[in-house]
Amino acid sequence: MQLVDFFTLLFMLMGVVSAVLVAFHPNVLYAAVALVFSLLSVAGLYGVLGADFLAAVQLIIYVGGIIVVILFAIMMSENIYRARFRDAAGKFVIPTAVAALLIAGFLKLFHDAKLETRAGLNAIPTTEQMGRALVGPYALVFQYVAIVLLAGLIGAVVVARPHHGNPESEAEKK
Amino acid sequence: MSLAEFLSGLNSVFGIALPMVLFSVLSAVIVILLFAMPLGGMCTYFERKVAADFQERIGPNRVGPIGLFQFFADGIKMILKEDTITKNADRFIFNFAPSLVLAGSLGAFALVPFGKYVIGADLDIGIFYAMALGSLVSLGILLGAWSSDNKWSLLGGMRAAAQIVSYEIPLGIAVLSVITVSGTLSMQGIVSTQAWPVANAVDGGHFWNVFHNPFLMINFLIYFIAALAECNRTPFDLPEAESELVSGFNTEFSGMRFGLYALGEFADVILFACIATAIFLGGWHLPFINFDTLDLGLRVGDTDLTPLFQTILMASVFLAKVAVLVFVVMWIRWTLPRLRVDQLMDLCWKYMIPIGFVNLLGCAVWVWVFKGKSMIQVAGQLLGVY
Amino acid sequence: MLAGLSTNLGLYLGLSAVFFAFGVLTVLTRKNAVGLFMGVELMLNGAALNFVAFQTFRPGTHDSWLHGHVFSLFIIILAAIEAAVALAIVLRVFAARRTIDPDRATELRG
Repeated sequence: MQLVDFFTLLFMLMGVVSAVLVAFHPNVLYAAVALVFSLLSVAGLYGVLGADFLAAVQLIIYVGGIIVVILFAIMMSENIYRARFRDAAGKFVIPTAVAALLIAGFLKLFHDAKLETRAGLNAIPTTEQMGRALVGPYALVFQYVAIVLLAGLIGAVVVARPHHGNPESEAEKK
Repeated sequence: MSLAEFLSGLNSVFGIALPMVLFSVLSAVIVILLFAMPLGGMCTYFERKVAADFQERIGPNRVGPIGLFQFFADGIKMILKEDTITKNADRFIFNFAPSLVLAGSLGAFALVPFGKYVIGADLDIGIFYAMALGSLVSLGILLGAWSSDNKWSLLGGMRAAAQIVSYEIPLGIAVLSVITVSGTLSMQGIVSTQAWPVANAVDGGHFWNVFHNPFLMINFLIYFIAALAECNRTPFDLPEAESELVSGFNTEFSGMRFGLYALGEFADVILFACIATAIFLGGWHLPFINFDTLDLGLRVGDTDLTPLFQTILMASVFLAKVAVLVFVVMWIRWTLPRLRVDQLMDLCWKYMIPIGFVNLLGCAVWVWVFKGKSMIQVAGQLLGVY
Repeated sequence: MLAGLSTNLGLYLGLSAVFFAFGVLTVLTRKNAVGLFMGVELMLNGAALNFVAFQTFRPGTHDSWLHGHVFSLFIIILAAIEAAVALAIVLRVFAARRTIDPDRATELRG
């Protein structure tokens, strides 16, 4: 048994279990912790698939950035000193059926497609190729994404800061 | 080397067919027991000694010669202490958060090049990966703070997370400017470009990155300040400000769980000192000497002992540089007062990030104008040395 | 039994389908705006994993351009932007309504 296969199995199990927990755990904060593990498992699979750069990006942006922001939002959007972050149980039957149908449909699709397997994965580092691709064929998209990022950040700052002279935010101060 | 290569390589290094789970658990235990615990312990001892020196006291001097074994006593005390959990604490997260902090800082040690042949995994994305693993730390602190059901903890944890996320940007910019100069992300690659320049030789590099160009010098300072903030060290130790928050995010932790947080902090300091040494201070390289080509002529029978001595020399030079940096960190701790929260954020967003970006641009222009040559190489060319 | 596990395209696609489906499920069932957002992240991850898996198994033309990796990178970056904006909105809604239940912030509904 190759170690790679063992880790693949580990990451896949971790991914499935944590995805279930994200959907079903009654405590939103625990769901966020489960989300951390599903993101970590995806990062691990990127590593297995030879996309090292993406694995690191996944760690640094998702785990170091987005999850921290999510935790902040969860903690700040409730009275944190008494909150247990219980999420009211909604209607589960129809959504679960939809999800089950989706999974079944996808699996049928993949089964019918007769997907091939490979003898071995390509494990050559792709960092340099990635860099060349980003400043070569994808240079324009890269610049565009940078502009979107800037616009998004400015937008977030404008939305999040209290509006002065707005009666609503005056009420917040009291 | 890519991650997948590293994984498949593990099989061949350890020829014995150890069960995989056992293997990974064992390696983690060995790393923690043999590396992190003694190093963190020594750090607490030196911290206390340095503090004592700064305050004209003697410091710990009872256990062992000049108190050297103090950290054993501290460690045993920490393990034997009662392990308390707050009544309303969220038990699962409370138990699991401290290990995230330690995992984040210890995992990155695999990427530290102590010598030419001494590195856990010389990944192709080395430095980037080390920074990515470090992002687990903020998560551990925030979750631990929330789970202990204490206002001071929560405030400290939120401060820590905000601070770490903010200061990751100047840190990243400083590292990026190094990458502009060395053209690789691999730790060994970055170190090997920093050898002492020699005439017409491929082994020679452009000497330490700090002295590569004026912009990188400033970015080294930015890296150092941002690293202090990442480790929650004074003057950026707002998350555990004693005068305001009792002890901040680790208020409710006791026994070995507190030990993990303390150890994690010291491991973080050492890690950032190691990375600074590797990417700015030339790793194991010294001026005028090139360890790679050094032949000591040491032979026992037919065996050439040169590689062994090279490795020992490299590791000692590397660790000496790390020790100096760690000492500077402690020096700053007992010298500077703590910043206010608004000053902390002002420093990051209004000063360090703009200055860092200007320097990054400056580095790029320097590399373009001087074809990647460092100040020393340019001077050498002008003087006709090379 | 485990041999060849990491070289089976179908497994990766199946996992990404599971991620996507549970993301949809999360979005449909959660009563918390941040919870919804986590569902969206799960869906995005499923899609990104798909791209990377196909890049590895069926690189297609211009292999060295790494289409799949670059696309996943852009997905991750856009997810970061989305996080910033969405959570700013969540905080504003909470400041104004004292709740972030999306079913109860319906003032703008036509």
